[in-house]
Amino acid sequence: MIKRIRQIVVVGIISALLWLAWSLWTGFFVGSDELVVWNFDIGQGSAALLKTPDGQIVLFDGGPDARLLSKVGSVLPSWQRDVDLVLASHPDTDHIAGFVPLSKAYKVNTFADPGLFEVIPLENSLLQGFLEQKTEIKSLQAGDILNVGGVEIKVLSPSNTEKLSSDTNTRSLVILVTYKETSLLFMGDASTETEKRLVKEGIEPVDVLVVGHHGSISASSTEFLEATKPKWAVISAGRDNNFGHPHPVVLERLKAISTKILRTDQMSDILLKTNGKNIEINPHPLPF
Amino acid sequence: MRFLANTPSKRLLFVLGAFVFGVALGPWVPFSSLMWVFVSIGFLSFFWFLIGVRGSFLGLIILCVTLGLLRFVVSDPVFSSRQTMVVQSESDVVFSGVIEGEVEEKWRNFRWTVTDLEQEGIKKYGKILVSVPYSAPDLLHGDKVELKCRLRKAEPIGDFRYDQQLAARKIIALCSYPRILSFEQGSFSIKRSIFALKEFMLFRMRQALPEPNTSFVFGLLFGGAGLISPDISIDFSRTGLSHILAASGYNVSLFTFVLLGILLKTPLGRRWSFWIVVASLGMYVVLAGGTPAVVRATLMALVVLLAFGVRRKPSLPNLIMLSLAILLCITPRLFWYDIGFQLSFVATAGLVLFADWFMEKCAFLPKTLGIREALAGSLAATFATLPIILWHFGELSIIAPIANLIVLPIIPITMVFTGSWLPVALLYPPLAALINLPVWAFSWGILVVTDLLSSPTFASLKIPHARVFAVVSLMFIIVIIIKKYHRKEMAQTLVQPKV
Repeated sequence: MIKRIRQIVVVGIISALLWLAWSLWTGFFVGSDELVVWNFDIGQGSAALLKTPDGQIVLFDGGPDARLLSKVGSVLPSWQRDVDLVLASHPDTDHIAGFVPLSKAYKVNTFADPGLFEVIPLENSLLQGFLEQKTEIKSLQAGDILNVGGVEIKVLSPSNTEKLSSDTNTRSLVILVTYKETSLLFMGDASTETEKRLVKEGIEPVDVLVVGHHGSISASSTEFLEATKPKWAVISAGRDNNFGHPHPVVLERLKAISTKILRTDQMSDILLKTNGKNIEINPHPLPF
Repeated sequence: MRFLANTPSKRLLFVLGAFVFGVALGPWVPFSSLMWVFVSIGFLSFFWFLIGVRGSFLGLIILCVTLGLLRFVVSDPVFSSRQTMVVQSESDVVFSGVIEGEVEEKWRNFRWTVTDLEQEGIKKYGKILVSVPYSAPDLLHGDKVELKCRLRKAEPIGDFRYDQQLAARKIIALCSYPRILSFEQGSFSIKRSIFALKEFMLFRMRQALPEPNTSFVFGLLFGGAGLISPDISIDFSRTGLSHILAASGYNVSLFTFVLLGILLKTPLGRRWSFWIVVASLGMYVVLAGGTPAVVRATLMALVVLLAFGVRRKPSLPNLIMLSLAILLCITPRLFWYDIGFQLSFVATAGLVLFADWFMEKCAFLPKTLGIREALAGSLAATFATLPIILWHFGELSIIAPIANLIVLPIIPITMVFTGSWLPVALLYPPLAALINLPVWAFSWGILVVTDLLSSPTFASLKIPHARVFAVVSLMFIIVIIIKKYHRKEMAQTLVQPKV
């Protein structure tokens, strides 16, 4: 009996130590004054998680499959089961399929998209998952501003006219995330057409650019890159993908303006931390 | 022949072995006049046996080989009264059918096995494996569907005969992302209710525990690695731990062996320990959905239980051969075309035949938490399955013994924690999320250890000329078995009192 009790105590201590280790590991991103952004290595697709200084969780795109759940599960504490805001850039499978299992596993408070989810079945099923858990559903367009836990999310695209386009990439959501003095631009799959408009409207330089359309040649025009002058560029693409993303020309354009390139296909998950002044951005492969 | 089969027990072994041999011969004997020669010889031999002439036992053996052969032949689609559907179509075809068994949740999609096929009002032979996106309606076993899709044949993947593996399950074609023309809910059945319960359990667990932990503990409890990401599956394969996630004889038998080992050390006694394991197996069959693979795995686990859980041991070779004959009588194509079955069966046989020997060799290990049983059992099963692994995969996990030594003792604890946490998750997921620490910690520990152990390049080695090594290792194992039983027989002869 004493032996049995001893075994249970040992098991308890091991669990507590594991829990402590994990808490310490994830602790750097709990309760600090930092904005933390994970660009997940999600294969050929795109998904990013933002944790605001006051601990709110925002997801921008969900990747092509259920891998999103493992990524989110790896960076959030095991007991955290809700996500404050889910943003879907546009209704392409490689950006939103992961939200279907997410809607069954996590409580999502608000879901926002460019208001395009009406035809394709995947979106119907995605929306159904959110409707079942009574998620607030918002439609966004250029000019909208969301304030989430001290971080400003400004919607730059789609404009009223872009929303009518038959091309889903043109209708993609583009957001500018600003925390104090730092800024991050998430391009979704927006094409050069949108970029042209943004340059025309006088887009300002940003610290980090999450490159449009996985580094495809259909985005990241020279004019746009010269206008935004990113210090870092993050490219979310799958290893040995069939599309040849990122395109060598795009890589050359980024190098030409001395932008440091971080690629999920080569470096796996990429972690960014900022206190609003300084930015620390490094590859940080998650175990799963 | 009589010299070899000089006791009733041995004669039974020969009879069962002859049937198995007949089934194994199946693919190599063309269905032609040659088959009728076999059948004629078989029945003549039976008469020979009936009239009891000298050497009639040989006649019985020939008859059993013939019956095995016939059993294989009648499992061919040619013998079905239904027509076979066109399995490769240039354009979309419309067909209807009924979803059979579990809806498999894969990493990117769901998979349905559609049976009772009908095309233009005519019933067709076989089943179709259908992949549907996450957006497909939430359907279950027994639901009727009408689909439009381009059919294609399964092709071998490298050396792996995926086509034959599916053929063993009577799957004749594949259909990806069909247009679902209509669906109709099936009527109530126990099987349907079990699958619905299983789906509900997974749904609730996911609300209370992060991934990949949920998929891992779910696979651990009920079998099935489909939910695990391909990267993690590779980690498990490289470390020789895939068996813990499969509804296989390997997993269930090993679990039975370890659980029995632990229970036998408690004051419960042999009888209670035996019945607790039987009850656990019964619960497992129900909760794992009672699929053919699960029932097979459980049957094999019963062999292990009888081998180690009862005082008067039955003849082990007979027990193994009987279970093999029963399984092949039900599904003859398993023998050559289902690697899962081959691994399951041989791992169980390995446990029964070699675990004792490995237990002796592992005497330096502590018995706490079943550590010794876990390693000995795993080594016995790995040793026996070596030829199959080399033949089919050409790769060998070097790190498997260490990985199994570290991970297997934690498995029963993880299962116990998960089992006790599960009811809370079913009743109220938010509460379960707050108390998921033990389940999370142990599953996370196993996943991380597996990930770390699979990282070195030497964790798993590609063996050159693997098939040659497969044959050599098979012969080596056969020699060991023969020697082992010959020695045992000699020992029995020596202790027989003189009359």
